[in-house]
Amino acid sequence: MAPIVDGLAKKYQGKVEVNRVNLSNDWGPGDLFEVNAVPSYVFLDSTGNVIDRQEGGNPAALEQGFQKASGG
Amino acid sequence: MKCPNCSNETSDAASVCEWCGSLLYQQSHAPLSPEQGRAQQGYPPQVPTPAGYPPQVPPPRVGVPAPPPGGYAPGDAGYYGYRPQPQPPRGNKPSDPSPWYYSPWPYVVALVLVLAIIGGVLVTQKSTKSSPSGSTYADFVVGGKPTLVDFYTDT
Repeated sequence: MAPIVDGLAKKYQGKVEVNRVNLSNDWGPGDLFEVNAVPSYVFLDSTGNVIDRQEGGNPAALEQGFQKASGG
Repeated sequence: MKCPNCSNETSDAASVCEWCGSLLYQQSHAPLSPEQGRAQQGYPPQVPTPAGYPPQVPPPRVGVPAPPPGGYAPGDAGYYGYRPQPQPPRGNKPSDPSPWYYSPWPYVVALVLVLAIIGGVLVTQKSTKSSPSGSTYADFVVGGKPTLVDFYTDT
């Protein structure tokens, strides 16, 4: 999924930032966001509220999340 | 007065015969029949109602005026201390507004307020929820812009 995320990040550059979090050594952030599966994607607004969240690799759903986060 | 028992003359004022000792007032104080009682109280004689007819309404007392409309007032002849007072109509007056607690709207507004408060608390807790390390959701926002947090593992 990483290439797809990179492509979408480039497409929505300046509107949506991407923060990649590796849970291999520390599952703390995963507990914080109640992540149950990897990969998981959580879209936050500029103040930290959850806009959308997805589990598993679904490129179409991921792009919908980008659109929602960018306000479009 | 002649004694009804021994027929001897005795004093008119005496209640007991001076000769035989029998009671004399029984004659003059004998209980009255219903008809005698009615006549003594001024009512006309009662005529029995024929079979199949509704019962008779008692006629007005002879020599007693009918009560004034609305009953007797203090000072009226025939007033015995009781006069029916006009009673207010039961229930709410038509012009009175219903009490607020009969309307569902205060409860609806209160419920909405409570739900809004609970929702606000939950959202606040969610956005300020912190991990054991002290980080919050807001710490994962990059550059003050909407951010995708991509959780992955090496394997």
